[in-house]
Amino acid sequence: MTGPGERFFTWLIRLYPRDFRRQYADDLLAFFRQDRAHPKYGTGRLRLVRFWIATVRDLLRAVWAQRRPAGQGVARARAPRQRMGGYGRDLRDAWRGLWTSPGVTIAALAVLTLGIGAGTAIYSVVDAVVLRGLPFDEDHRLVRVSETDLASGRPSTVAPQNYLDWLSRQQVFESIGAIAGGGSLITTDEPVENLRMMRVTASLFDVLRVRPARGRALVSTDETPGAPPVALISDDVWRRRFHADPSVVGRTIASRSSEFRILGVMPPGFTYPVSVTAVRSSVDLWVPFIWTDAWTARGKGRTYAFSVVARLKPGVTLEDASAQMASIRDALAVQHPTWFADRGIRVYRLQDAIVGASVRSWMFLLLAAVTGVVLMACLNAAHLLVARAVSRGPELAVRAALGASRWALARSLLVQSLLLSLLGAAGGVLVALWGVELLRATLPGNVPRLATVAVDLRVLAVAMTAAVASGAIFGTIPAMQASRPDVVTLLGQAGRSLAGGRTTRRVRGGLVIAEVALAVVLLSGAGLFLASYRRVTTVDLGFDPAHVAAFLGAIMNTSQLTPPRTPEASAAAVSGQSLVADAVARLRAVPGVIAVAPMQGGRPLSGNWATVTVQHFDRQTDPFTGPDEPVVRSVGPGYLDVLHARMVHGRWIADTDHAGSEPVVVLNDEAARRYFGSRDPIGARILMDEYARTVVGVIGGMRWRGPESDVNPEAFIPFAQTSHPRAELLVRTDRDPTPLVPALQAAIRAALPGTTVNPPTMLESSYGNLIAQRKFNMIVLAIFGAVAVAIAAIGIYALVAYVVAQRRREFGVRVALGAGPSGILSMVVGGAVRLMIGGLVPGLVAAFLLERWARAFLFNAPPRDPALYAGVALVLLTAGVVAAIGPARRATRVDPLVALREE
Amino acid sequence: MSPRPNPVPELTPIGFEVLLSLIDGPQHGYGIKLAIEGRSDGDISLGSGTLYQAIYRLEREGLIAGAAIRDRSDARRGRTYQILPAGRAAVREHLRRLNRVVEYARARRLLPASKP
Repeated sequence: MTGPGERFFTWLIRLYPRDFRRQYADDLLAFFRQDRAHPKYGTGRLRLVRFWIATVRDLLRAVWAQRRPAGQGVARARAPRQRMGGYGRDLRDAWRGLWTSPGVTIAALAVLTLGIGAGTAIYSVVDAVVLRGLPFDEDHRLVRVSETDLASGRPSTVAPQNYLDWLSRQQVFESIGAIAGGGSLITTDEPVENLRMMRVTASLFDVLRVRPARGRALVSTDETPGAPPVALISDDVWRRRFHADPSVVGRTIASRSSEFRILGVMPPGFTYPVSVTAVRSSVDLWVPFIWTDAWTARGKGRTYAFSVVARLKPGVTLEDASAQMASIRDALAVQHPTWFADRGIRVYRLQDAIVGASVRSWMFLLLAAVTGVVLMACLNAAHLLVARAVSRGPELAVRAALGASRWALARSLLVQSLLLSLLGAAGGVLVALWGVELLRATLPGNVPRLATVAVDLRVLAVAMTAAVASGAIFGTIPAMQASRPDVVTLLGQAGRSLAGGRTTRRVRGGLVIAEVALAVVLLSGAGLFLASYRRVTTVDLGFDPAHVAAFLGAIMNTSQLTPPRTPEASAAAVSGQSLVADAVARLRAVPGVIAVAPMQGGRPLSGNWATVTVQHFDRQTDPFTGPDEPVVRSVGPGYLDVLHARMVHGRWIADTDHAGSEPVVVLNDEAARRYFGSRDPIGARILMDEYARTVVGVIGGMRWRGPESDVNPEAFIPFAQTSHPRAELLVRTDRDPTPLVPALQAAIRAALPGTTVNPPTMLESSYGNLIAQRKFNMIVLAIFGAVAVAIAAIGIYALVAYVVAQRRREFGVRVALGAGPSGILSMVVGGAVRLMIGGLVPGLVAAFLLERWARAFLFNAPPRDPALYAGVALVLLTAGVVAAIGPARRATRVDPLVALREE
Repeated sequence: MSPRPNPVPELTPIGFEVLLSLIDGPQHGYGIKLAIEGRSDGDISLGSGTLYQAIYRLEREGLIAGAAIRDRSDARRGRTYQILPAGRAAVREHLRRLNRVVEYARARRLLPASKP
């Protein structure tokens, strides 16, 4: 329940000396929590601000007092201050200088705060997802060993038989282990729940160097056939299910198939596989992989069941290991040619296996975009400081004349910029704390290691470094300029700040040009991602995922419906059919339900499609196999209404299609096109699993795996005509189905007593997951683009205002000589437009070149779209003109008499 | 003035206020803050840093002692502190000093005389 505020306070407490912290940290935090409600901070929007200012000021003062050595405070404290005399004065000057024009300072600070905050938040995500090592001892030595599919070059899982041969032949790994896939274990003892189980070899924990916190580890005898079933449980399960019972070892967890004796409890925080994300919960229990004969002998079939992880011996490089494993593979290929004709081998870092190349480059895209924003914030601050340096010109000239060194002058300006950047960083950290919460909530759930994203000291150190570096960068330009003031000119003109003159205007113009160029790049990026997102969301799926709930596993796990393979199986199938029909009828009776359909063969948008059966079509000479096989789904008549799918031709499955009637099939348009070409398939008889069916209709194709997938050939057969009693239930409601879930679950339970009914999956949220990454990119880049335009506009406004102030006299003279307001207006605005074009041109060229790199992240990217770039240029020009017009109008109102008298 | 054999530690104004708040019984950190605010009509409002800096000093000087966290309400409100005999002595000593100052001020008519 600790919010970002509390975390920040805890972080502040770290500034205390250790002994103090140890004694009072909890008390301080308790005080902090109670104090938040104190009435003295008033009410309204500023309440929180007042509270934080008071709290931070008070705490920092106390920390300072605490850290000062007791007793000798005065003597010790004064000495260094004297040594730093110059800096102390610079710091005071800088602080005062910042507040001489508070409006400008606050604007620059706000931009810096947002920039550094956004940068820190994005960096913390990139750091957790990509940069940080895995949470295992000497994780750099952990590798994944994969077989590869020679045709595609893709890494694949490993056959256990091959794993055994590797084990006996290799000399490069200290240890090798494997996970053999997982599953869910539905407990039969109380409380009934769905636990996530992972089958592993005993050696896996040696590879990871993790020992159970209590109890014993798995050993190789646990893997022998016939060994009593055992399991290691996670710390979470231990606390949740066994209430942290210290004598849990030896107790059991029962499921329908077996009863597992608990061997031990893994340490808190441990989980493997580590690519655990927000969607998939972490593993609850690990059970040993059992080496039955089917896995040790090389029989006819090959099953690639293993995902192998190994630890390199000290001093062995990845190349050494790869070379040895390749030669082992070649030797095995000679012995067992059929096993290796299409299989290669690859050894690569485990971290690379977990965080794939696509996630990596995506993260760097985000980092690049945010770097653009941070850079713009720095340019903006530089701009401000150049202006400030100009107004300090006379003062600096006086100091130079009195003998101040160039370094002293430059230093006083650098101190100011560092002060500004540190203030920005402090605010940025607060923004980042909130930003990270926001990012964690908006990032797609399938980002690996998302759960570990946080602003920690490591991230803060990077933020501070970035702040100091940016302060040094944007402070150097004015410092270099102002450190060689033209003493004679400046003193001569002291009081009239014509000081900056042409050079300054050129420097500031250059900064504005750079800002505009960066804004063009960021805005073009935003445009590209927006267009891509619109293309994805407007793809016609062929069905409507809104308001559809899918109950998966409900009926799958019913004992009545999935009896072991016995002679009574077909009788059970019949009773299964009637149970499903009963469930459908009860669901349809729930108020708000429009349509219900049982189905088997994979839920839409889930990414899995279960059954592919080899099909033979009697009208064709060739049997269809390989990629052309249709996916078969057995569905109930309600399916069409549940998904809002479209009939193209013929009829859909009806209630009259039952086990006793003529076997029928409905093809989708893609299947009809592939198998029948231009001929009409209606009435054709096709063989499916050597079982003849008549084609009665053609249905519109559905993009089963989301907007970015193709329409594959599919065949739909009546659920009532299948012998599979397993089903998922799809329910369409006339409103958001979430509040109806308890009623729906109750209806299923009423039809199938004793069933565990898992919560349904909403197709709409599956759809949301599929486009989540694109949506996220779109939002982030749109925000960055908007910020970039705003910063560029601020820059233009500031420059034009400055130029107008500088040239008051000139305008006065022009007005006196009869220049009209429109002429002056167009002159000033024209100057700003010229400047912007100076930035637009390099910006457009850069955006044009960078588009190629961004294309990898875009959906169906069309060839470069000139309209986009024209639009970007137009938006920026408009923003610039609007920003320039305010100060430009001031120029038209110059009173010639007043302006001339200022001489 | 000759040095006392067993000098009572000198109190800071905040340290004195903290001890005063504990005279009537043990109190947790935030309770001390509220007591001081109540006595001073809100003139003295301590932040967490200042308060615990004072508590740290008083504890090191042996004038107060913190109790161990016993239950959930302790954990929520923070540890309670109680005044030790040395603390009471320090309060008395400090009050004596203040009283001297007040009497001096009355004698010089810097303060109105106390009501009978």
